[in-house]
Amino acid sequence: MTLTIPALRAATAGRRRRRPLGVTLAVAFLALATVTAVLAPVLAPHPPDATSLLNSLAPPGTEGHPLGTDSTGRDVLSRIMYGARLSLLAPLGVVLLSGLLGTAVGLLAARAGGWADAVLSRGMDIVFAFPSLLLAMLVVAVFGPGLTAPICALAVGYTPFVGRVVRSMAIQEGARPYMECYRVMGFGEWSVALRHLLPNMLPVLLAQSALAFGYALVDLAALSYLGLGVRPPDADWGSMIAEARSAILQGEPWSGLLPGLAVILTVVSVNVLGEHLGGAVSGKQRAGT
Amino acid sequence: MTRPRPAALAAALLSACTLTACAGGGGAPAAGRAAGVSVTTSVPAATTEVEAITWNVPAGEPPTLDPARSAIDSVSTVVANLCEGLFTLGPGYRPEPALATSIEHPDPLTYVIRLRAGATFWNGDPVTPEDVLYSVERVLDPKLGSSWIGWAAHLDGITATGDGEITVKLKKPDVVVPNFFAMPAFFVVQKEHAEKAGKDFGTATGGVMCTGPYKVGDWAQGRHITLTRNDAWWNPRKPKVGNVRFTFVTDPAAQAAALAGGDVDGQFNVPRAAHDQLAAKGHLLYGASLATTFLSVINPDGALSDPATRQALHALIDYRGIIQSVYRGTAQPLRALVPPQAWGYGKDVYQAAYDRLPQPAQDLGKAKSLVAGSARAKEKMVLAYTPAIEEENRIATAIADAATRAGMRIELKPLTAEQFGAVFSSPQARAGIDLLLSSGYLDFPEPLAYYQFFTTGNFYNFGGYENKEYDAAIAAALVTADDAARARQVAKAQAIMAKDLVNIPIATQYVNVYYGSHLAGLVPRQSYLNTPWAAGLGGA
Repeated sequence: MTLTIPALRAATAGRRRRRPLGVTLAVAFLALATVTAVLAPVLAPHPPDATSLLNSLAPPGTEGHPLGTDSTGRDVLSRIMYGARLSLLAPLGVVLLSGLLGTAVGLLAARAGGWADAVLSRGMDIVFAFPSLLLAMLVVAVFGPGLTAPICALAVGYTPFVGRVVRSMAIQEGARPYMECYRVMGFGEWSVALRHLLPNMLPVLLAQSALAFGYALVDLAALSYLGLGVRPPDADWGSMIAEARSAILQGEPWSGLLPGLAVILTVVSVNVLGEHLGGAVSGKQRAGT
Repeated sequence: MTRPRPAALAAALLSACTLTACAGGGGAPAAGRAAGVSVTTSVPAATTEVEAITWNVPAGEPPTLDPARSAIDSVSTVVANLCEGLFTLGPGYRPEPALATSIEHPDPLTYVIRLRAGATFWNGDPVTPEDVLYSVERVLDPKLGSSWIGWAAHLDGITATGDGEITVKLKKPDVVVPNFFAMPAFFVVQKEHAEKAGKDFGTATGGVMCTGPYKVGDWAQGRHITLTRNDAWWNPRKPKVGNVRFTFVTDPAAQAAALAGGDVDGQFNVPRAAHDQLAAKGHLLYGASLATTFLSVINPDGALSDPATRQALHALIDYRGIIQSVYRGTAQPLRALVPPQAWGYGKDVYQAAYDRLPQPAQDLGKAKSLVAGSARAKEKMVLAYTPAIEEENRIATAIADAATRAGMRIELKPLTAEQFGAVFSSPQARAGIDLLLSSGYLDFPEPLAYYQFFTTGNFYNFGGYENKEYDAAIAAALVTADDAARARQVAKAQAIMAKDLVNIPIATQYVNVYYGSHLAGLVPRQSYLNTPWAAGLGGA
């Protein structure tokens, strides 16, 4: 049995409200990016690594290359489509890992209280004070380039963002009467936390994760731009921008601008969606109090 | 000595009008012509004095100004104007007197060198044979770790044999040795100053004491090094620029902006992407270089142990695309490891031998056929390279893709600057690498200087290449004083190497320099790293 808090009742009612145009566009773009990433092998006009040096830096609109070619003659559209896979999957990994870690740490701190709460909270403060990107660069310096190490490092760096929210909500919700009801009914502390408290926090966590996804995407793109992310010749949007540096200096910027545009649109879409979710949840929570 | 180049190699892009062409002067291009690119071999001399110029060193701030450690571009570019050897390289890379006035070679093992009378250090003290001996022996001290030590493999001893005279004795003839008399291996520093400075010698604290056309005026670490003219220089051709201020901008976009905006007056190794922009602003000149870009076999036991794998690699490289697209016409494809510009003697012999080597051309059909017939060729290979050099990044990517199309498997391994440097000194750093894409250059036009690295047991023979015929040809060349006969031996070794494909030559790039239109007098040559190039600069 799960008691429904007022915020969620309001959320159900809110579904009937009309969705703003910006949110609709954001969802549409993210859906398009996801479909493109999944179906890249089917949709891409060329293999992403197929070079043609004598056809390098062809401008958009060139026959067979709608978005042109990069400095080694690879098709920019195909690389953007294949690049979407790593560019979307890697931040998703960061969000899932940091979500799991943050939720665990936040719940533990809130439910355990006392010295455990103090230790975990100060630990989160310390990690929070350390720039995530710098942490990822340090990890790459130790373990070498590739996506696994930066994903783990960024996940650790993002954990306090989730952990603090979860801890705060868990303490807040823990004081509500319905939680006391569960305890009186003989449910254990962890059973209540995992089976009833956590589901009630999901909307907020979802909104938080959407925002974190955007930040992680930018951080991972920055790492790839610095040559610390994906290994060549794999494509992601950050590495595509890095590879276009000299082309930009040469006055032929499209092979860098287009993946840059993909990063911007994705981050904006995710942020719009995240803010919408966050706004909806907080509005509904206000409505429920 | 030959050197790998860790920073971006000099190369050039189509220039609308080189100084030679604009001025109607200059000689015939030494390296022929690529599409639309002229090689400059002479420029009008500087005519007016210039109080100060700012020159950028794209490889960054030099860690030292010690000539014994000047084996990297950042150090060499500055030190070449401060310190001198016994001889220097003139136009055409011919040795010219510097701190020595003459050399005698009474027998194959002896070089008697007469030092210049009246040459002084910047502080006015005379240059003595003791200073010369100290400087040479300092380089030979393994504790110093100078990479110039390699010249002395056959050295018996070096002594002062008279007033203003030193004698170099060898244990066995080595025709490469005299070339080093014009290299930093023989750059002279003052003994008293060096001993007093101790470990600080060459640093901003300890400084250096040399004899060259410029002396160190100011070294503000992290910002600039300013050289001031040495008015007591022995050479009557006095520099026309009073002060040369070196900056250390490493970002290509910032370099382009500084050069185009006039904040910086000049730079060697201008980023290729900025050439179009700069060609319209000032003098963007290209010179024939002694540089070579090539693939080396590092692991002889894996896929590359099969000659078919190496032949397939040779066949799948898109040489035309590399020259036209990556180097944009400012390089030439190579049939042999040493570029034709490095034939300092026996040119007819070398040319005939070079013409007999197969012309490099992509033939994917041949590559596929070779791979199909070889089990080893299908094994995975790791190709290491430095992504810091954008051109090599693109070449490695294109090779990996072409290899995939031919049925091979090449995994790319980009190396950091530290990892790339370690590859040349540590077997551990080479572990796991099958192929290495790199660029290097000769300091003087002697092909033997490169080919001797591939003899059995040589420190730089990373792939462990062993061929008795090759070793014999190199050994014979090292003791052959006659130019034509030596060229024949080297050409024989070159042909053996080309057949065995222990390395796969790709291209030789032109060296480039940019300077503002208000300046004149500098011809781009590979020798700028060891000769006082700033002494020729001045007002147009």
